[in-house]
Amino acid sequence: MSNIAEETGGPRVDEDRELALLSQKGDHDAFEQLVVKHQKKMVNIAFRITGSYEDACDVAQDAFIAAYREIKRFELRSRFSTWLYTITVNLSKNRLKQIKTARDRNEVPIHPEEGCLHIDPPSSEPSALEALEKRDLQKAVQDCISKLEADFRVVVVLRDIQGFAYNEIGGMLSLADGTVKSRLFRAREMLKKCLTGKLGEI
Amino acid sequence: MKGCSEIRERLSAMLDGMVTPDEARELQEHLSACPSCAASFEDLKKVVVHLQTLEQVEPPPWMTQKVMAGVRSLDAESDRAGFFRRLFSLSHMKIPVGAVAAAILAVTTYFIFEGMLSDMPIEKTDSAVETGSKVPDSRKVAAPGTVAPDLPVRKPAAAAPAPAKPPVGKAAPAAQEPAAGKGQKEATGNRLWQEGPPAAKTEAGPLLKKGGDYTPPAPAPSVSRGGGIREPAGTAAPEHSKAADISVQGRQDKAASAPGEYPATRAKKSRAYVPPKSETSFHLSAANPAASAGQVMTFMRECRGRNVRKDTAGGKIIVRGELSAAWLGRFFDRLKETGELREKDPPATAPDGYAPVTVEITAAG
Repeated sequence: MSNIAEETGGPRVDEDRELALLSQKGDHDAFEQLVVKHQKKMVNIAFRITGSYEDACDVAQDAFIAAYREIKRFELRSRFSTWLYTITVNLSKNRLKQIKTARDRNEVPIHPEEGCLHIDPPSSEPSALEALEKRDLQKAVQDCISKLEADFRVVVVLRDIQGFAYNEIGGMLSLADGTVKSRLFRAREMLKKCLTGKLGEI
Repeated sequence: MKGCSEIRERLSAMLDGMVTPDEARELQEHLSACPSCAASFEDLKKVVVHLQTLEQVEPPPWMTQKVMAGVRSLDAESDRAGFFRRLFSLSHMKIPVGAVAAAILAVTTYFIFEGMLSDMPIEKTDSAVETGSKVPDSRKVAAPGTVAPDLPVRKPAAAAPAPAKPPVGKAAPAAQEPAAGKGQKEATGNRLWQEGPPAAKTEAGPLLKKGGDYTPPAPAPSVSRGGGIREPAGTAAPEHSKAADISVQGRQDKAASAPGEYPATRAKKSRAYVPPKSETSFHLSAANPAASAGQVMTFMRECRGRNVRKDTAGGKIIVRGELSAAWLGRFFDRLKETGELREKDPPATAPDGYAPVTVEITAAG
């Protein structure tokens, strides 16, 4: 994992370096600060990849625990956040496989969002109709993302939703920039087709 | 148009600023000449805008706590593992010199006595003190004095007539003669060490001195069998050396836990008493247990629980089911809303996969 991450991030200063160093020495307070700082991004990455809030929360927790377990081996040659998000992406992909296997066996409900806990993001729209339209649009976009194969889904989430640079994505996924570019293009084309089918026009 | 597919891939990269200025100029020229690519590019930009404007979700408020609880239990686990690792490495690195010498000494001493016992008439027991003090260096003469109080102990191993009674047999003469017992013990201890095997003598040099003080680990079994059982706790303290006191204590502990039994038997027994810790159980106090039981069952099902069922036993309602480890935390959070909750076993240690969960519900107050 760290080898992959080492390729990313470049020589930029890592603002998490001190906290990561303290965490390596077993400082729980330092690690807690890292959790507080990165949990939102991790949940969002996992949410867009898995399509399920519950699974995203599980993935983010597992990723933090895995990061803590491995942090002594993290050599700080890449940015801590990149390393953390790489773990999140890998665990999200694993979760996708688990969900697929479970669904094949009919063990998991089709809509896992209807589980114990569901948080609806508060809407600031003045008009209920607009809010509804916006929600429908968001749902349509997520549905289309969820139809993509995992490799395409991950690339589009990391680039268009999370705003990572090509080289960062390449580092996280062990891909050349050219592969990132072509996968991203194909993912966007598939999304365009899917959204056109769902909405009539984009 | 031929080449449009390749152009569109580059247009996609242009959206991300991943083309050179020359390429960008070339692509713009193509767009103005190719309405199909221009329309496709417009749609592509809209798709990207939709993706970029997706709302973000908030992490649940309990996430930090959950993660940190996991981190703490991880550290606790690694501490335990580290302890055993240190123990393991010690046994490889530092223990051998002393431990191997002690072990060789103990084993050879045992076999020497075993051999002597088989040749020795039991009647010689009476002359233990005199014989031992007069001729301390003579193996032949010292052996009877040394071994005499231990005879009942050795006998079971060497086909004794009454194997089940060695502790009693040892304790009886000891209690009758505490002072003589001490004298025997000192003599015994010295001689025991002097009789150590030639192979062990070089390494066991420092231990030989200790042997006289009754502190070495190796002879402890043979010495304590004679000296240790001799005294009840109350009378042993003032007269006995440190090692003897420890051995007395050790024997008493064993005797108290299961008199008349051999250690191996007791170890097996106590292991059998440990219940397998495979389920997570909670205790819930609620104003209306029946209603709460219904709620708990609903929660359990909502959390993807399986085999959910309810039993009533002795005024308690027990809801049972199986939950996956991933859902256990959320189930616990829901339970807390229902009534006064007490964890009987912590949920953090639940294994992966499905784990049995039991909730006992009793009336509050």
